[in-house]
Amino acid sequence: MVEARIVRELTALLGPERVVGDPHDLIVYECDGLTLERATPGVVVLPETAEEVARIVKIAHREQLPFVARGAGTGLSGGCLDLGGGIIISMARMDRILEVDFDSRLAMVEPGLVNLWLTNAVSKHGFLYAPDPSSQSACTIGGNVAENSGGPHTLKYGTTTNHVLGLEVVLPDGEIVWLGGRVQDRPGYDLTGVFVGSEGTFGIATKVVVRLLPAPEAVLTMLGVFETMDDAGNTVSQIIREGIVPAALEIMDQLTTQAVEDYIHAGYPRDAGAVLLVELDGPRAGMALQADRITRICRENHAREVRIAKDDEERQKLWKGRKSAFGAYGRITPNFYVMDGVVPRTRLPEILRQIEEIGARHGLRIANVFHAGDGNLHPMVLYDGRIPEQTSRALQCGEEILRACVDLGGALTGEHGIGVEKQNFMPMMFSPADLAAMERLKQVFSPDNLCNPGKIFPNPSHHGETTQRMPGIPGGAWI
Amino acid sequence: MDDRLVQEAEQILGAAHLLAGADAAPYAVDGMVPRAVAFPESVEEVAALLGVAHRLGAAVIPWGAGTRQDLGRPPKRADLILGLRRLNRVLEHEPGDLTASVQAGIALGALQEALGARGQWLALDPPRGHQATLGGLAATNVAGPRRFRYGTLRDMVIGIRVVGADGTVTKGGGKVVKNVTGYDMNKLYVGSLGTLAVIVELNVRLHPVPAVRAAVAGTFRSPDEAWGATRAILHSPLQPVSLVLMGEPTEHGGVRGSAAGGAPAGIGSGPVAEDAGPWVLLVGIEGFPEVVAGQRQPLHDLCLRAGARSLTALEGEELVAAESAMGTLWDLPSAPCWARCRLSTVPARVPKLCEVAAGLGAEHGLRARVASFIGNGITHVLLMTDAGGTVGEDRVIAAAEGLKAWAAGEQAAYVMEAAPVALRRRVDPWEAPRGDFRLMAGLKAAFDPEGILNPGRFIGGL
Ligand SMILES: Cc1cc2nc3c(=O)[nH]c(=O)nc-3n(C[C@H](O)[C@H](O)[C@H](O)COP(=O)(O)OP(=O)(O)OC[C@H]3O[C@@H](n4cnc5c(N)ncnc54)[C@H](O)[C@@H]3O)c2cc1C
Repeated sequence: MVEARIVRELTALLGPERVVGDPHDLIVYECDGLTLERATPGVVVLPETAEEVARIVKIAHREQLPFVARGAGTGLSGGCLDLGGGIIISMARMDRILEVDFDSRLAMVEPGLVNLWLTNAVSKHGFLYAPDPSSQSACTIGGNVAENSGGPHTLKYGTTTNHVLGLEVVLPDGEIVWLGGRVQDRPGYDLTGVFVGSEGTFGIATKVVVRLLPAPEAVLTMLGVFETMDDAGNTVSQIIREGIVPAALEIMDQLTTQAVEDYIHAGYPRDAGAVLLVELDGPRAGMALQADRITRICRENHAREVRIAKDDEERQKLWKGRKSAFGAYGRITPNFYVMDGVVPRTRLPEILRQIEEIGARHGLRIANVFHAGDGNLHPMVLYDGRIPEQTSRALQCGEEILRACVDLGGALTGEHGIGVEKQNFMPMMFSPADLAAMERLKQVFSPDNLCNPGKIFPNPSHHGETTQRMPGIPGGAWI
Repeated sequence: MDDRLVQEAEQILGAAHLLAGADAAPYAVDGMVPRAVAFPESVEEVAALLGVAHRLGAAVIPWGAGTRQDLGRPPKRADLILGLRRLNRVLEHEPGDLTASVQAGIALGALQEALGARGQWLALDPPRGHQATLGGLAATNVAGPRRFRYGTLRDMVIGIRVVGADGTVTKGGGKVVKNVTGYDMNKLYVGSLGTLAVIVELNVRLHPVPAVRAAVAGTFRSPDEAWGATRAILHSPLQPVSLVLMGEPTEHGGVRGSAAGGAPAGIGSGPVAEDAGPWVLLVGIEGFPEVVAGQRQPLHDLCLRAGARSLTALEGEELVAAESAMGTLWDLPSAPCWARCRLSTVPARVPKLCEVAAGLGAEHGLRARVASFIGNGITHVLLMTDAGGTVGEDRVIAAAEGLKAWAAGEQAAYVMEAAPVALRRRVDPWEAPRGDFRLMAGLKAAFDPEGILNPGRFIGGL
């Protein structure tokens, strides 16, 4: 609970319609896309300018109240939860595109802007914003900055950090500073680089300068159909080995394709062991030859069928299937738990076998849809939260999967962040000294530790499932 | 030898890998001869040496190949040179993962050779950068023209191992190309000029060696015209890998022959060579043969429409020669006094920068040469004068400070990358610190509280 006098001060600053304090209205702010973790916020405010954000943060700082930014709440690691009963600063009203400069291939936007809106706004001029999380029609640029979000096309284009040039930031003491800007290589430490991916713990981004890229002249999407997951995985390795870098390489297993077919009829075969979605983009010249190469590689790895989307409609459908996977699971299971581990891509077949074993051991089904080109897995542990021990078994599965990823030379998370979800797994990857260096970095930005506290670093008193779950609502069903 | 630093370093390394006294003279940094030069062989030795330096309060200068030791302010002190050349191994290279782990002392040229044998490369092409070590390249984050397609080391380093100022070994990132586990410590150390920690290992993402490399070279009468071509390319879906503008800005925009030593080989021999302009735009393309072939004509057409006076298609030796001609800007100039400045603007302002450089050159009696990675807005200006001594220094400093002042007004970035030490003692090579400096100072204080790592060399005296 935030003291009434502070709520009054916030209300005087923003007006009553931009301060949310009613417990009923606060429910929507209790969790993000990871519905396993919940926390009741103190108060939610909706600023419209950087100056307002700065004044709110100054109040929090003066009162030593924790605060946290919230974008669209699609995060998958509990990053925007208000663990300290402080202030949630919603970016929902800061959603404008402030500037586009095609000569410099950049745009300046407010953090609450929905990712896809940016591409929509510049596409008629032949440009796009490359990072494309599957949640792009809902998630915000500010959230993407905080999580260093990726997406299917990061194989060729990199993640958010490769596309952010500068940030206007409200630091945890309320000062507004610019990190980086419109130009590249500014002398000094790469503060933009360390801010991106800091999961909202270094301050609140209030303006973001992002790169725009010209839309490719041609795009070609192919579907390879395989009897086994191994064949699909080996195809990916061979494509890379032969020097081809497609825009995207995505694999879905049978559980996934079936769920997707039932849900949106994307045109995937229901009886295949795995499908591989390949996207090529770039100059039209030579694209057909590239497609031939990939077709050959698929066939050499026993593809049953290789299909090339013949028009934009079929292309969109193939992608819609991929991007709707989470929603589709919502129809085949009461609950699911999404993991985000990474392995070196040559270890994909190995990790997939281990995941299967882990699922079998715990008596839970695990579906796989993943960014194969990056080695970034999204195993979905399917479970029924109404059966008490299933939730803890799902969590146990998750932990074992991530340990297996790390043991194969991989990482705990490729794009969803640590948040509260995986904070206690950090020692799997990092020594106390490594973590101390990270802590030292954080202290420079946030000496009072008021900015999104309780995340990323191990917290022995947190055991998953922060508070009670809402039974029966399938995670992801709302997308 | 009664120097404790030397004694303790010798205990760690043995005498064979330690230089002291007169032997250390070749490793003088900005005229300061260090007390000891150490060449450790392992991360453990680096850690032990830093532990000693930390305890004794000795200033440590990490040293890769020494190719860029003239970047930054002269250090406040230079006691121990930490030479990393023996840490020069490729630890892992898995072609199927398109990644490699290397020790920081490996030279870029040696690394490219090892990777190239298996069809891959680190997509980094800093001019004259063959000898530079990966650690040094990471500390300075310098890159070459193909950053337009591939970015800089900032974009390629996926994992890092460093030794902190007190000798503690830590790591950040990992071995996979996509990883958001914890803070992105790679970004903290890349570009930090060895002022926060000593980089000892790097994990990097790689790219396939392109099947074909080629370029279209156009000559233009002015930077404005060349920008017209660049702009058209930036607005097009064509995917060049580099965009380099080269020339000598003069006040009347007149012809002075493009670069020292004449126009790069092959350039200007095209159809309109007679009155070919002095500005060369070199547009690199690479990849599968059909992709390269398919882009050549459209690039050609865009350049012509923008007013190119001549156009040449370059490949093979000719391309290498053209790139090497650009690289001469990074060679030690024969002029008695000189400075090379790097400015970063938005691409559209590069013509204006060329004009400003020309004006400053005329005003102060200097010759200026420009090589701009114009697609990124990164412009290198080499200022040269035939006057020696303090007269020459005065001129170069006046022009360089003019560039710095212009940059400040433009929100552009500025650094004097290289110059003779006598000149550098008289100026601040860095732009003035900005609003974010308090964070930078905080980082330095947090990671190197005693101020022993490259003390005083970085922006704002960090
Ligand atoms: C169906 C589905 C698919 C997804 N697919 C992908 C995918 O393909 N790739 C991927 O990377 N992620 C994916 N995600 C995860 C999620 O969408 C991303 O992490 C996204 O970036 C979160 O954005 P958001 O606006 O919802 O942020 P929120 O969830 O609201 O917040 C996330 C974090 O950002 C911080 N934050 C928000 N705004 C700011 C700001 N202005 N300044 C500082 N910190 C801020 C918050 O404090 C919090 O720590 C998916 C999620 C779902 C539900």
